[in-house]
Amino acid sequence: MHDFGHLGISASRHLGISASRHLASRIARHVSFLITSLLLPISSLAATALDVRGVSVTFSPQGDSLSEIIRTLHSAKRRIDVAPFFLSHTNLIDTLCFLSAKQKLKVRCFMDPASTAPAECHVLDRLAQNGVEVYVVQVPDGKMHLKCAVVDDGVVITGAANWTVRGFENNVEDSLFLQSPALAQAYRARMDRLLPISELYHAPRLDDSERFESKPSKLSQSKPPTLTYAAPRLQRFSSVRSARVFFSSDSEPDNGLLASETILSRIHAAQKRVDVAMYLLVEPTLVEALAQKATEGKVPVRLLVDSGMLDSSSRTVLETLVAAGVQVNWLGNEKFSMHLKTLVLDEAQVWTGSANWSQSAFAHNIEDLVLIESADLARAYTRHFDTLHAAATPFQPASLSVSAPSNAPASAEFPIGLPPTGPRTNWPSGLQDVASEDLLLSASARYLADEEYLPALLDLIRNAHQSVLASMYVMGEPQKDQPNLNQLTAALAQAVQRGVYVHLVLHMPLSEAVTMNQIHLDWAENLRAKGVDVRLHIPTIPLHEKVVVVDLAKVLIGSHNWSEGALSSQKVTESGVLLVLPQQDRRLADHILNRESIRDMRTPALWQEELRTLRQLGNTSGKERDTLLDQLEPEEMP
Amino acid sequence: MSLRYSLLSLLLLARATFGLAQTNPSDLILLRNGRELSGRLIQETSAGYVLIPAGAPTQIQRIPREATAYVLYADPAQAAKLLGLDSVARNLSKAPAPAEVRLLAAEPFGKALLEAARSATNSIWISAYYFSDSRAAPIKDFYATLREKAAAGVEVVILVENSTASPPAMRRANANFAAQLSGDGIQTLLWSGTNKALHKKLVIIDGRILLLGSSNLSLSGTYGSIEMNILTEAPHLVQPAIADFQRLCTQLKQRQAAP
Repeated sequence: MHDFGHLGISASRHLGISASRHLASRIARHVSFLITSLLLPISSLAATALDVRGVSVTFSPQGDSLSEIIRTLHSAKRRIDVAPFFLSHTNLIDTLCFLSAKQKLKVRCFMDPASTAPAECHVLDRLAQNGVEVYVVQVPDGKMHLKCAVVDDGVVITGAANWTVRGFENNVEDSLFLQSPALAQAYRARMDRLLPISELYHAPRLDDSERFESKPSKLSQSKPPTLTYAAPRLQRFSSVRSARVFFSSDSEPDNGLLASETILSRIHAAQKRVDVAMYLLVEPTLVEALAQKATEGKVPVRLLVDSGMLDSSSRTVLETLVAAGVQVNWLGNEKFSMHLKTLVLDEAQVWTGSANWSQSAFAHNIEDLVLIESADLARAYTRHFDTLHAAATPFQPASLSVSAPSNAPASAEFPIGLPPTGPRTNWPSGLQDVASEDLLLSASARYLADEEYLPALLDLIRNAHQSVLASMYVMGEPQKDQPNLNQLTAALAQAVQRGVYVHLVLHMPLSEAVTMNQIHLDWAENLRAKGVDVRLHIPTIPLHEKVVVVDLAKVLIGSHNWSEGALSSQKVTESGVLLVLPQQDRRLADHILNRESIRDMRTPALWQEELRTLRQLGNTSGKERDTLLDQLEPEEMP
Repeated sequence: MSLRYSLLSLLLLARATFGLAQTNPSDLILLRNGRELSGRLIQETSAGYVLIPAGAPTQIQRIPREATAYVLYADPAQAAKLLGLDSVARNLSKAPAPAEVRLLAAEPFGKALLEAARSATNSIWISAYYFSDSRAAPIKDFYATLREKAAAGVEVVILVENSTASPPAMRRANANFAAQLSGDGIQTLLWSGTNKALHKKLVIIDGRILLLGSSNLSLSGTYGSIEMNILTEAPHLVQPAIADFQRLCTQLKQRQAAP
């Protein structure tokens, strides 16, 4: 996606293309669906407003979602149907096994085929061995993406959360508990319609003695929070005007189309506010609708997305929306995701469920989109949205201004201290060639396991005569207690004091949301203040090596990163070698000094600006990239 | 700029200077701003270097230490003495001969890895942090070779990270790929039951060849990223790596046997 023209494609045209692509398979399946459809006229149900007696909402991380789901499951008297997309949280697996094997409830579990992979199938084995009917749902070109449950004939649990540890303990998620026989019927009917495309899962046989016997273990302790706040506690509301649910699926394309058209018209009609919290937002018509709403300027449009949206092509969506006046913030890193799929309108209605706003969600996957008309619920979501949006980072489109040439004072013949740097002029035009020839050395050598590395490293640095050159994938996250990392940085600073040149190249991730980004930026500032010539590697190529070269003759190579866990050998087990050459060899030193790194290290603001531009280059390709490179070309000096 | 040249000069004895004058290649100084100077180094102190530039024998340049990135001495013997290379080397190993070591960036590592695996007649022992097949050579051919070798009776053992220290998604990926490989007769051992991550990247062929470094056994370890590894057949490097590998396998088996 290199232009924004595609954003204008209408919903019906877009979905029409994908629908026709799968026409043949759809017709084939229609026969089997006809039978169930005659019994359960669900498509009409989906469009109807349904009665809801009450609704509870919980949020993750560290909220009440997990305990409330378990409590609700335990309230079942007869039967439970679950479709959890991913199921790996032990407490939930225990609960389902207990209810099936000991309480003799009828438990059905609908799973995506991803759960049958060797590393995951033990969960299905356990469920099946405890009497749970496990169905593996085959969705052509899509996923069984539901994360919902029906308890008896009265309660539906749904929301964004997968039933995993990450889902409840790390991610930003919501879980809804809807007291509604009508909704329960609709959800159960949706699951029944999965049966023709499902296979019953057969687990290896198990002795009765190995069957689930005891009550489920108590809730596991939450991990340390990944955000600085905990989600609000359980909130219950009885004032629900009505609810509607849309189930998209490639075999029922009208449902997905109806859902997206309903969302479009509701956004268009919004009077007071439009708040979207979306893990992935790329569906062109919905992007266009938000942009249009913001351009009108009458109603504030706020968007919260996951950091995954910062990557590659989805980034252009954010740029489009910011340009239209949407307030775009992002949240998340490699440890947690902003996983909500929520739209809140006018403090009056809430949309949530399993569906991201992507083409596959509306046309291929099996998803639920539930619309609840409740002022109280909408206000609860808005309050939570306010907190999240304030905690999140505003999305900054990269500026393409090229800094003016350095006005550094005319240098002395031999400038001392940190080398002078200035603005980049040669923007990398592609993947840099990695050294293609190997280097043969003859050296005294020693194998270094685990804790043998740090003493060898410190010894090299403390006895360095002229230069310590290193390139490093990870420099550890600063912690309170890091004696080994402190020893290392102190040794580097002392070497600088002795006049030794210390040059350290650090990896920079392509996404600024990865925690290592900020950690390495902080180290650059910290160590450059101590005279260490820290260079940040260009973010478009991973710098994964861990190499130290001292005095052009002493070399450390291996797997040890400069993290406290590796240096102390307490958390990681590593191997490396120390090589001492009989004479100096500049080739490996030049390998480190010639790493392609950020050019402008004059101030943190300047190096961050260059990083932003390089990342933007890394996230584009083809013609768009050429245009960017043209714009970056500095003007000829007269 | 006044330069404080200490009288406590480290060295550059007259004899060394004299010796230098007779050798033709120049000393080389790389300045921190990227400039290279060459000539004859006549003095070195804690403050800096004194150089007679090549082609200007009547001039003297005094270069502050804080302006210098590195110095490449023309005379290897002088460098070894100045930098203490001999004594460090003596302390390092009692091996009679220096080790022959190949330094391998990502792409040469991929080639060397495949070549080494193809040469195996007896055993291939691997410790991996992350491993993954790929549709691209050489990693695709590497795993194909492992399967062929296992089928031909070569002992192929892969110890792979699966501790609680690693992200669940990576653990799952490792476990799934391990299950695939063990279906092909390769012994895969999941490093589990601990919160200490296995980050050693070792490949040992026939107890004779050792590859070690930063590359994971995946596409990115062999293409497109900056990596550095070594390959060696020097027994005093290979033997401790074997002992290390066997120690880890034993540890894992003890953990699995524990109640």
